[in-house]
Amino acid sequence: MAGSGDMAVEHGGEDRRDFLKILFGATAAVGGAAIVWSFGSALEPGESAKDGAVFDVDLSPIEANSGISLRWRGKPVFIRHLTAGQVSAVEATPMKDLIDPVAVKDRLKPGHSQYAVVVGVCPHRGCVPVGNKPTDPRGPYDGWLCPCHGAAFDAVGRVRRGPAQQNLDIPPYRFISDTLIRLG
Amino acid sequence: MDNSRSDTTPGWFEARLPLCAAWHRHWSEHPVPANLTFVWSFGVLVAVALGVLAVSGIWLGFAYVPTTHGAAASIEQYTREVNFGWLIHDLHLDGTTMLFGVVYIELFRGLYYGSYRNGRDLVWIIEVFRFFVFLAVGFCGFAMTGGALAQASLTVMAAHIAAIPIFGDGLSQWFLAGFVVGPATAPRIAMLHEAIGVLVILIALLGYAASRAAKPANPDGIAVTDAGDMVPQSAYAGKVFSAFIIFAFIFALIITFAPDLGQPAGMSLTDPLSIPVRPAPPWYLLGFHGLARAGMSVGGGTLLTVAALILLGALPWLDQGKVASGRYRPVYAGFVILLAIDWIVLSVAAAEPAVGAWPVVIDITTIWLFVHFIIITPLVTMLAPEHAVPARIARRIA
Repeated sequence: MAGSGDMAVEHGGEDRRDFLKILFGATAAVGGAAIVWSFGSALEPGESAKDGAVFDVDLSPIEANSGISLRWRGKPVFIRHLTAGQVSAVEATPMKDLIDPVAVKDRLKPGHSQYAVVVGVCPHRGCVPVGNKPTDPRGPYDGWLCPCHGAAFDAVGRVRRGPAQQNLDIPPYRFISDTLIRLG
Repeated sequence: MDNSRSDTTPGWFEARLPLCAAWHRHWSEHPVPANLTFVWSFGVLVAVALGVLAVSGIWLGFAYVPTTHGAAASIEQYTREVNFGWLIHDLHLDGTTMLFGVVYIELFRGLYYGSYRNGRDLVWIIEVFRFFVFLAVGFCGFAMTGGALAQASLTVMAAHIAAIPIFGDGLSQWFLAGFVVGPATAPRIAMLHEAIGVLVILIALLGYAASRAAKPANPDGIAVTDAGDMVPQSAYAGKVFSAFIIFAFIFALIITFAPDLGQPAGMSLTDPLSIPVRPAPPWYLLGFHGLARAGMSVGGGTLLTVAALILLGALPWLDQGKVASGRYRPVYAGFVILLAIDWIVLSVAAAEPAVGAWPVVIDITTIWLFVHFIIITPLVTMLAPEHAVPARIARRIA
């Protein structure tokens, strides 16, 4: 410590210690960032918790005008095979009649408008709406009906009758082929 | 660099919480002897190892399932499937090797240079107690991994505790949360590991405080009083940093090439249905495992292990010499080195099965350990020739 003052004078205020300090600081910063990143990354769910986070669903067994329920990340997902008549019926609904106005084309994938994929959790209080089984009531809008408080959804999952104020969520998915989707 | 530090007005934060002032006063500017060698960096390395163990331990605790059957599976799952789980697991497992490595060397340093002299008796007792608590935490950590050997070690440890007169049975039942290893044992051992693990940091801080109040230890073993023989602790920054780099390099080598080094076979990923051919604890417990085996009976084993630790703590009174440092009493220094070799041989023998000559090796090394402390130490320090000790420190290193 005692010698550094003299060196600073000799070298115009910059000495090797300044360089060492910068080197040390930079190394410590990079090392610290690596530690924070790896330890933060270790807090993410493990692979088995991620099991079922992404998987493919074959849609070919679903007959027109019927639907299936499946479990995705612990939540129910509904897939409904719509008839041409059902698609044109929801498209005919004026936007001003909707509680949460979204165009039909934004609820379906382009070129695959016969399949509606929604998260089966009512936005009101989190119940699972009915309407997938042949014996289930589908409600007044030919979609899903929440058994808890009576919210009604149309065939693409838009809310048409309260108490829910939002449409059914749409999970992230894409079409791999005409009858195969990758969910997640 | 900044010699005008004391003249500048402290900032808003520093004025209210003077952390920088505390750092300067208690750490960077604290006067220490000018002759400290490389091994005096090991105190910082203990703190580094403890920090690594604390952080990685918290991260493992996020996923650890403290049940008899869930423990091993949860550790294995964490190691295999969580991002960097392997790294965090190995930092914790091999962090114990690094911690005990530096702690054993620190103890040897204390023995060799007589660091328990010059009024440092309480510092030494705290250091030996800290060592004992480290061993206890290490044992619980090993026992909570859930494999067959870990489960068996709990039964053995409970038997050793039960051998303590009067209180033994009760303590043993407290330890196991039952009469035998049962469903309540795993959460208890896990909690003991975590709670004592936090407590040990407090003990280490107490030891540091006591060490700062006492006259500083140094390789010449003399009470350094002359201010000219002292330097600010920051003068050793380069030496400590070099020690840290070597420490980190060895740590990285172990994690990458030999993560099970010194650990019982298959300990990191435990199979509850298989027990290693040579049932032995982690390396840092092997010497005590040897003492316990030399004790013939369970009670004898408890007695020998406790006695060894008490004799280590009693060194300030067993050592009758006029000088402290091994530099100026070569005969005693030789015996200290012999003791270290004795402990290593005892540890190696304790890892071997009880066949052939190994039990004899354990007995001989155990007997020598007690001969060293009870007979050699008082006699040699009293009778063996000592060199003249310089009044001031002999060699300035910083």
